[in-house]
This record gives sequence, structure tokens and C-alpha cells, in this order.
Amino acid sequence: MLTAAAEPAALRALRDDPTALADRFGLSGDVRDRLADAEQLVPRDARGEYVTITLHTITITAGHGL
Amino acid sequence: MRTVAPTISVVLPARDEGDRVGATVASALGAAAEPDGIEAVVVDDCSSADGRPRVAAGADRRRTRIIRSELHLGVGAARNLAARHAHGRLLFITDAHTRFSDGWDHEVRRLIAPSRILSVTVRDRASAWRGHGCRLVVPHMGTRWNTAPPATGTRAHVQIASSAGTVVQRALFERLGGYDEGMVHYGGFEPEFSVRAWRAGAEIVHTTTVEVTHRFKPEAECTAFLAAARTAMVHNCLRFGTAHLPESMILEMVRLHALEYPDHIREALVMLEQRSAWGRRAELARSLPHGFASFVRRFALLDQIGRPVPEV
Repeated sequence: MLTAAAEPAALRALRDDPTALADRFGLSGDVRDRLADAEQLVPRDARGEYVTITLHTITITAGHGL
Repeated sequence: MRTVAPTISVVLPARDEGDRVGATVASALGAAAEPDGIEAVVVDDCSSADGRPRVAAGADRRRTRIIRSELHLGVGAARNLAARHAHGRLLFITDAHTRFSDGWDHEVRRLIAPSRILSVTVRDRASAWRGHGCRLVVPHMGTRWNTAPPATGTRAHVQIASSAGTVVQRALFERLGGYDEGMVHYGGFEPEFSVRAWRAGAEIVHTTTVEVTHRFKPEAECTAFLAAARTAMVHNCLRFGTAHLPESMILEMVRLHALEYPDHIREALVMLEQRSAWGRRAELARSLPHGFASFVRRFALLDQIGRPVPEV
């Protein structure tokens, strides 16, 4: 499934239509629900745009990053 | 000429760090209680001609070995290569732009144990900030610093040891298989190594008695670096999560990265397949005595918006 996720159509569904993606791959239960709810993990700014969480190995905390 | 084998190898990757390597080596040796027991092992990770490691002639240079890679290995493979060339019983893994606290070697020898990895305090050279290990953020697979020191009088377990200061017996490092060379270049190596260590039955203990002062990149340099490294970092997060997360969280992780990094996700997913991420997951499931659930239980880990982490 992750291989298929690299296809342009599947990638669009992954971002914008997780229900369709779940239907395509027969996903159910907790996996399906978590896929749909993944947007909750990504903060948005005042305009509703996704905000990149610059989290990585050496993390941005109080301005301390790489 | 060295007649006594070193007990501690200071191991560091260096790519275009130039004089900063020499300053790090000088600090490690100068701050040591017993410098004769220390060696430095530097991997020159395909630096440009102007950026190659420079170490002062004399005692520092005699105690330093520089291994040149003509290919860009990335931090994980470079550290592994340095470890393979190390002679010391202990590895002090750090970055090429750090300074050591006085008597660090005495403390390291006192605190280390066969199945114990030490996480040392990391200081910012430009402020009073200190980091005391890191904690994992799931399902993003990034980390956050612990900025509060651990309570005194307790064995301070931390989830993740920082790249600037990870101390481990070479035998344990080899048993764990070092850093995952299926990851690329930069990002995620240290947290993946730490989680794998916990799953292998080792512990990571933080100490405030050893401090490494680290040069954090200025904002402009950081921004430029991230722009170049982003695809690798997305891939590495995905590989890390595929290797360890409950299966029901993996697609959620992928979607999270697809939302945040739409310009990088496709290439990252292609790399994930090419580098056999699922094969890695299966290999770890066979070889490690503990599942990710044990790590979750030990640290009462919740996901990044406070929900329980599923068992499967």
C-alpha cells in the first residue's frame, strides 16, 4: 500500500480524500479512523493553512534546532 | 608513539567542518582527566577541499585518526565507520562542533555499564539553555528536547540520547548494529538508535555531570540546511516509524508527512520502498526481545495530541 501511495492519484487521496484511499485499499477499523483523523496532528495557522512542525532529530525547542 | 590502548574513543562525523574539528578534539583532550586514555576518530564525510577536518599538530593530531570517505555517507554511516576504526572500549559519540566539560572522561568511566547508554547534558554556547536528552513525538517520529533536568537521586532514564553526547560501550554499540544505514544523510538516526536500544533491553540514563557545549546553527544556516535535507528527513521519519510503530499508526504517520511536506512525500515513499523498510521492520521484530509497546509503557508515551498509542 505504501508503494501505491507514491502514485500521484493515491497521493492526492492520501492528502485530501482519505476515505477514498481507505475504500481503495480495503482499510477498516482503527487504521481507517486514524488515517482520516491524521489532520488533527498537524497544526494550522489563523488562515487554516497547515503549519510545518519542524521536528527532527535535533528539535526546535525555544529556538534551539540543528 | 602510543603504547597504551585508549579506553575512550571520541567518535565524530565531519562534513565541511574545517577548524571546528580541531577545536572539538582539543577540547576533548584538554578537558580530560586522563588524556592519554583518549583517542579521537573522525570520519571526513566527503568534505570539500576547504572544509576538510583540520586538527592542530602535536599531541592532538597524534591522538586523532581521520578516515576520509569519498562518498557522502551521512551522519549514521559515518559514525558507524568511525566506530569500526575505534580502539577504545567506550565510544563517546558527538558532533564536530562541541566542547567538553572538565573531567568528562572520569565521569563517563564511573557511570557507564555494559547495557547502559549515557545521555549527557547539551548546552548552547550562546545562551543558558540546556537539553537533557530528548523525547519521541509520535507519529511524526521527531523529537523534543527535555529542558528540565532530571530529579536528583534517581536513575534518570530518558527516551533518546542526543547526537552531541551519547556514550556507549563499543561492544553494546556493535551488538545493537550501530545506526541504521537504511536511513539517508541526516535526521532520525539518534532517536531510532535509542528506541532500538530500549527494545534490545539496554537502558539510556541521563547525567548532568557531563556537559557538551554545542554550536547550534544560526537561523539562516538552519533554514538553508533544512531545505536541502528535507526529503531525506521525511524518508528517515517514515522509515523509523515503519520499523517501530504499531502497524495501525503507520498510514497515519504517512498522511501526516504528506500533509506537511507535499513536495517531498513522493520521493520519500519511493525511497522507503527501495530501501526495504518493511523488511527492516520484520528483521527487528525477529531479533529484538521487546516490542515498541514496552517503550510506550515505560515512558507512558502518548501521541503528539495526547491520545493513547495503540498496542498493535
